[in-house]
Amino acid sequence: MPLYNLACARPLEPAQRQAVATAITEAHCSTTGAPAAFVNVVFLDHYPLPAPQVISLLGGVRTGGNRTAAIVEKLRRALHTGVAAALDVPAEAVGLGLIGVPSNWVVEGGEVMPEPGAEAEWLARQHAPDP
Amino acid sequence: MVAAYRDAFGADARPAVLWSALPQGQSFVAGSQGDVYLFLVEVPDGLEQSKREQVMMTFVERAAEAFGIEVTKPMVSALDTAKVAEYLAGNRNRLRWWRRPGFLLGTLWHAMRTKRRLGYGKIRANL
Repeated sequence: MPLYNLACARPLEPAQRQAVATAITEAHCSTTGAPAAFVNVVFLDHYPLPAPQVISLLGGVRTGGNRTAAIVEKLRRALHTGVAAALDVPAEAVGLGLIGVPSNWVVEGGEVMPEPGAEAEWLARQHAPDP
Repeated sequence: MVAAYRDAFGADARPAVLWSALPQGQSFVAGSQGDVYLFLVEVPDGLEQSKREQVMMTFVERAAEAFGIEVTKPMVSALDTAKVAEYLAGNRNRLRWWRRPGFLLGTLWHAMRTKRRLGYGKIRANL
């Protein structure tokens, strides 16, 4: 988590997928401070999107912790402009929706996810050598 | 997965299990192409946290065993029914409005057909 699900009107070229995944990861991490390892991006093809959209992003993101409404709004804007720039399309061609999920409703890395802003301890445990 | 669900919610529970396989090159982790193992488990609204964690950890263990992967690989979400409905509506509502009924019917038809043919239901990643 986050999980960004991208519905595409037509399949993107591999380089375009890479550019979009990179843009989303950078937007998410720079805005929220979350580690890149948390960011999952999947692409789905041949979705009948309303014109003029060519891609529609639906993101499941953690809520709580230090994630204020202002940060979520900043994230929304960063994702929108980042994806549009990665595909070289106007902003109207990108649909975007975010759905908040409490962090303790998700297990990743074999552990319940930490609250936003409290990742350091969780990551330290993940990287600690086995006893 | 059915057994894991019944362990948590009782032998009378009748969960519908649906699988979706993403073609290679369509999933990224940390900005690089990689395999993702995502499991979404719908649970009753307001389920207490200890039970929710028990459900998620059981699914992590069963998924790791079934796919022969480390327990650190699967991402399991145990979402309230209301949150699952929000997700499904979000996915459906981004389609052109006149394509939504066909999308729903097509998804259902594909799930039923694969269930009959393969023994498990699948939903299409790509339409």
